[in-house]
Amino acid sequence: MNKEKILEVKNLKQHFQTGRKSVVKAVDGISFDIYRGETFGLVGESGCGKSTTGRTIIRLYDATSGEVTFNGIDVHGTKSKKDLKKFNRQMQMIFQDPYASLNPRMTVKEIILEGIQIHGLIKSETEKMERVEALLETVGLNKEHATRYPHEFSGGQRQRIGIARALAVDPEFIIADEPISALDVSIQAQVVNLMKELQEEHGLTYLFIAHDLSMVKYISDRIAVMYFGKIVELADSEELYKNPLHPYTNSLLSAIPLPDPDFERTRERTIYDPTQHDTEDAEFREVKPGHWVLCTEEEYKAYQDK
Amino acid sequence: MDPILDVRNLHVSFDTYGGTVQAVRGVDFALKKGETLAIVGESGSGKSVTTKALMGLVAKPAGHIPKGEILFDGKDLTKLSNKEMQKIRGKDMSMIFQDPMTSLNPTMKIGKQIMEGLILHQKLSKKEARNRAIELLDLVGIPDSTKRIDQYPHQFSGGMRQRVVVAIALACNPKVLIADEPTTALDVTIQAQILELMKDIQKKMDTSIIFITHDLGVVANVADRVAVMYAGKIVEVGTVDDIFYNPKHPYTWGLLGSMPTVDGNDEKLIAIPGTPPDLMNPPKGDAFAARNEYAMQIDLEEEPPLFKVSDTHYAATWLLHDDAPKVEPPEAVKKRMKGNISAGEENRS
Amino acid sequence: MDDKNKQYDPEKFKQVHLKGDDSEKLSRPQLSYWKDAWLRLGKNKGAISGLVVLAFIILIAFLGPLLNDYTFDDADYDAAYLPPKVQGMEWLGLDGMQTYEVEGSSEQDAIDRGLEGYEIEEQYIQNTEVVLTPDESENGYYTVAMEVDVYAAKGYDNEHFWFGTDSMGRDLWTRIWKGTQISLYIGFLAAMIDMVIGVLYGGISGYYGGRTDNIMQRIIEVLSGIPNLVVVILMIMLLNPGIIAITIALTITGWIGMARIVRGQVLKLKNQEFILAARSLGSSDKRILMKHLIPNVTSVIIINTMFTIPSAIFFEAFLSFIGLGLQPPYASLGTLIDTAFDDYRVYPYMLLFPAVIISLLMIGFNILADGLRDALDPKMRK
Repeated sequence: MNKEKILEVKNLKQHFQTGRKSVVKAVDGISFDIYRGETFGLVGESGCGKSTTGRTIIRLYDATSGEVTFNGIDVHGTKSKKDLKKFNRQMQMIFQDPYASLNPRMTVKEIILEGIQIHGLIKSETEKMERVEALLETVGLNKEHATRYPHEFSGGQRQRIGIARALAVDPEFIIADEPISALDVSIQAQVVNLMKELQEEHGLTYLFIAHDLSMVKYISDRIAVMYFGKIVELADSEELYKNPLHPYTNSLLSAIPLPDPDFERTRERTIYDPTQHDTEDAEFREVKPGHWVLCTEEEYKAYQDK
Repeated sequence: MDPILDVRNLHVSFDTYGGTVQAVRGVDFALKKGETLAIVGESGSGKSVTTKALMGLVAKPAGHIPKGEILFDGKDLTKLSNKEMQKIRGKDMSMIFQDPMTSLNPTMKIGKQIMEGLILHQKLSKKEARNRAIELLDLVGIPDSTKRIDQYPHQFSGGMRQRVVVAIALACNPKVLIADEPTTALDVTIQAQILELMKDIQKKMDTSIIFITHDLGVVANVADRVAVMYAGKIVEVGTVDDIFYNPKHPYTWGLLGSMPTVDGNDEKLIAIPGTPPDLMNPPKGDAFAARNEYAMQIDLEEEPPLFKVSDTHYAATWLLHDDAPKVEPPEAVKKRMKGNISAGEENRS
Repeated sequence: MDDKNKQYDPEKFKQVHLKGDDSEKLSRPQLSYWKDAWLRLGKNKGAISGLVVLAFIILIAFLGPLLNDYTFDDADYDAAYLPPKVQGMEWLGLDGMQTYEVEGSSEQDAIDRGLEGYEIEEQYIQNTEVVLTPDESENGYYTVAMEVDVYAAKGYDNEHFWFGTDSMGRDLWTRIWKGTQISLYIGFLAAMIDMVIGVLYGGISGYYGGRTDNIMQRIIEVLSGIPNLVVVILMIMLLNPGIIAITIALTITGWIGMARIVRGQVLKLKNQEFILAARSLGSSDKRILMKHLIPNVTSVIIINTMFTIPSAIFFEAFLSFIGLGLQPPYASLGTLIDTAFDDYRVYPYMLLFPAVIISLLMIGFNILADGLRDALDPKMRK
């Protein structure tokens, strides 16, 4: 894989003021790099800050502090409208809820064309229609669907329309925020396969946010595990599954139910108790090449021996 | 042994503005004492509607049961009045819903919500009911139960709330517990806890459970028997081993093949193409035919009966007919079948 | 259950290769949201009859005054208090006959007093009837109903006032439809104010949120704290009572309900993923407001507007009835009812027509709004 960094996140923090004095540290100082052409999985349980991370990266939220560098440009620093528009084209997002992510009053054609319209990419009506038809075909729908409204489609079809909308502006980088968790199993596979195909054809880079570890494992090259606003472990997906170091990763892995009755009968679950180790002084350390863990000096040594 | 619940040829339809939706189109199954039957299927396959019919919760007048019977304790539940059903609901049969956030009344202390059923159905005094409620909270693993009984739902976390929901459902020692995607809204670690809790309680109380889910991992974890539903019908039913290690219906193959295996192979997932049929106009013949790569001419003309595979295992596909060509399940599914599964386990440990 | 051996034509077990995208076909007919809503509305008999009644009233309100030669402010005291008279509809009682009830010590005395009192010559009496004899009445007089051909008596034999005339001899047909026009104007004005000020105010307040929202909501609270009636009275002190005062009063407070509803909807919608998607595509605030938010609250706006119209019409009628509304010679349904109210026992037609029309308007708008709510309510959709 070519190791050019497309996105660098440095010490990103996103704190929300919820009351006069209370602050929710949704994202609390995370750093990671994403290489061009890879799929980077971000896993964690609800409330761990994974979706906030995605939304902050694409500037739906303004970061409290930290740096996001995309294609060498500081995303949160750019202020000129032109730069922002360029950025909006290069980075796109696929959303979780196929029912809420499409405007119910727009036709499929209008939805897909929205980005093209905003950026003025195509002027002539016939070319626009051709583009819509091509995009619909790319995501496995047909051109008769262009004049329909979202409520006429099933969840999986809607999700594919959402993908077509994101693809319409030819992005390089797509943040997929739990794109399959609201879908049925058989439909999940459709969408995941489609995303993989598109990645190969268009050389896309994905940030794949999910709570379903088995799917993330399947689609991702590298995975970061988030727990309460922090990344606790980051490694190649194979390495993370075979050799999880952080106790939270361990407990997460031990909790995934697998479609295999014999295995389920003998499964043993480990429970993560954050009080069992020192989390105050923990730092993000590279235990093995490419395998980072949030740990203390002591744990670091113990992990290296593993 | 006689089944505790026997569903025969159940049909459920809903009248909508656009026409009649045949949500359940002839479902047969029997639930034995102390077993867990998982009903698996995609959204819209009729799995939730089936259980709503069992509980007498099909919303009238739009929803109705044109055909079929539900035999419970020698009574046909479809014939009972709403009043009579109320006596059964919560007492002999109770239900756990998907979302613990909305299935509890936010303005009522959880103790009171548990006691309601006890006072109504078991005619306990307030004091007895309270003591029983504390026992139940202990049973579902809520620590400090004497204090927490007087708290409101918002003071509990999602997982703890679902435990409370389980406690309410169990209050009157129901014979049948229906769990409609009880863990879907929960995180995996919490899901694992709730599943363990339910299995544990089943062992202690010998309850029969109908477990509705779309997650095959959860099915493998909790179920004794599995019924796979598609387009309002059961297309395959068998023991959990039958379904996972010897599946016969191409839809079951598709479901199994669309789950990635964790033991690290990067083959493409088998996606079932297309979308489920619109049950306002169900297709002629086998409803799955349009998405079935093994479809035959007969699939388009006639509905397949449930063919017997073994004493415990039935599947509704023409592929099981003697004249049908012999087809092998896809590679990814074959790998899961008995004999090939140990590899995955070794990798994990 | 086991029919493995049942015989079928072996040909049927040949595999067919279906095109995969067959199952992607949408089998239901294509319906846009508005088309679907229109079909639903069409099935609602009440709403459709409401719509028909309204269309009829609105049509006549504009055509009616052109159908005869009278104007709404032509006073002709000789022609005062003429009852309705329509050519060809005499059988319906619209024959220009007026029945007076008169009292006297004998039947003839009563009639004589009546003729003198109403300044009518005897020859125009069509019919007389004793209603109460002295034995039955409390005051020991005869009460006699005498039917008079007033048109002939006053020398208007060839005139036809379809809805009669008022105390100043002005044609009520023209006045009533002119009044209906005014009432409709008030209703649609209130709707416009709702749609423009209310929707924009609520939309902006909800979309920008935070400080902007806070300030705008405080303003609304202050405004809604002032009773409508106080605003009107203030306006009347500043300006002259009349259509302008009412218009301004409505403009100041009428849109508050709509603003609140739209704000609530926008608050709910603005964090929906399709809005986030539009923002991540680089949509401007204006585009999001106009293309995404407003179209999604139109149904709520329409429903709310339809309820605003009748209540504004009623508000104006109420103001006129208590004397704060339009001033003569202008008429609205409210002022017409107000003046008719004084003599309704002798001249019931003066009250009947405007009362029926305002009732039909109110019922029509309310039923139609109800039907629209059912047709547009997303909760009913599947």
